[in-house]
Amino acid sequence: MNRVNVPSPRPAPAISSLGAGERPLISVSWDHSPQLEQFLPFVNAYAKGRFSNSMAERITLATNELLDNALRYGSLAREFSFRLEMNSSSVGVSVRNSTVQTRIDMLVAQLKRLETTPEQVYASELERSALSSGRRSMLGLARIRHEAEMQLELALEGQDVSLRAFCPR
Amino acid sequence: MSKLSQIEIPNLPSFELSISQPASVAMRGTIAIPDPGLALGGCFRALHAAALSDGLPELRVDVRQLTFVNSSAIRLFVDWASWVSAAGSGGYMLRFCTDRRITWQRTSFAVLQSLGGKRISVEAQ
Amino acid sequence: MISNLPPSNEPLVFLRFRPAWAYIDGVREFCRFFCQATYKQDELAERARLVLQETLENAIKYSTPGALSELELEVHAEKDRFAIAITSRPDPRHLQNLKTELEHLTLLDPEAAYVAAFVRAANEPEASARLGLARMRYEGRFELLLDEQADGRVRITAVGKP
Repeated sequence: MNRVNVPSPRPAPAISSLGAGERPLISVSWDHSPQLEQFLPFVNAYAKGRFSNSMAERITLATNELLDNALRYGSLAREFSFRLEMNSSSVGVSVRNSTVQTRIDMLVAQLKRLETTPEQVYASELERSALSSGRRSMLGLARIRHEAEMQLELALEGQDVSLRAFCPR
Repeated sequence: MSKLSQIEIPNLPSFELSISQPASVAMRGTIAIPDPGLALGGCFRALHAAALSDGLPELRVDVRQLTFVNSSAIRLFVDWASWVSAAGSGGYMLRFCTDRRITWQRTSFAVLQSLGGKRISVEAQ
Repeated sequence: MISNLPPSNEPLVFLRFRPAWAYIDGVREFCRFFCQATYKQDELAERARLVLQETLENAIKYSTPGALSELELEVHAEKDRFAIAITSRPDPRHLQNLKTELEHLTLLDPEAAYVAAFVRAANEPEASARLGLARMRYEGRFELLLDEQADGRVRITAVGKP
């Protein structure tokens, strides 16, 4: 019999904005690296079936950047969870994974900068990414904030990081 | 000109059917559409009628590249096997060429063969 | 088998969507890929693909129209147990047919039930195929559980071994 590779313990669920009894639109927990080239078209097609094209593109961008971020800076344990949620007022995507403390500190600092001067951060990250030969640094979060015009929210629980991007419906 | 060569082949997004002379049909792709009977039933019926009309002793149907079908599509093969059985000794041998690594082919064609009598043959590769 | 047994844990995959045919290919292929990557078994991924196609088709064909008729799909992947569950709000007449069909199916072993379904399909050429449930048991090696929920929805769970 082939080796069965199942998550144990399960990755904790991503940050949620839903009330009791409300269900997400999509919730996925991986014990292996999510393969973006397979997952993103699925999320995009799903979102296009439910939202306007422009909202679907924002959701896809946020999904791509949050998962890419988690894959680049996540811990070796490689457990990830993803949620796409909608409540009466907002639509949001969140990704949860484990990482190291230095990364958490960087993330907190970056989010503070993004909160106050998103355009400037976007411009500087874009420039930094152009100069650093393909290394994208924190451009992804700036894109979510600036291009997709979504708010970012961070929740921490030990080494578990949950990042949520959301916008009004 | 044989009747088989004149059959009009339906145009479906994920399914291809080709006919080679003198008596071979090959199917590839997937059939997972809402009503395969509506989209393909007429073509299957025409293949059967052409094989009878051309007086073929055998028609070889290669499904090895048909990797996935829904159960409504399996119905098409059940119907075809029924027509061949009903034609009896005046008919032709319907020989399915299957891939034993593909589960739906292994399970479904074994049952078809057991139901279809001597006019159905299944070659598993 | 008809049972109220729910899957044991939170699903690894949960999807909520309108009962529209357009979702089937995307949902089926995403879940197939997910199963393949989780268990590293092509054969299990194929079994999952079959169950997803058949259960989604049925749920979509027989859902009652309306805003409360969204489908919920769950994939539970555990070491010794693999389950795919679809919750829908079916037309009551279909529900009765489904219950009867499941009861009849489980009187036979999976292979005999599949053969019987073929015989029935061959003898009733004008009727719908109704091969799907028997196929999931025989080809997919899944047992099927039906759970009627308090809110009028129905959950069909296909449970198999990895």
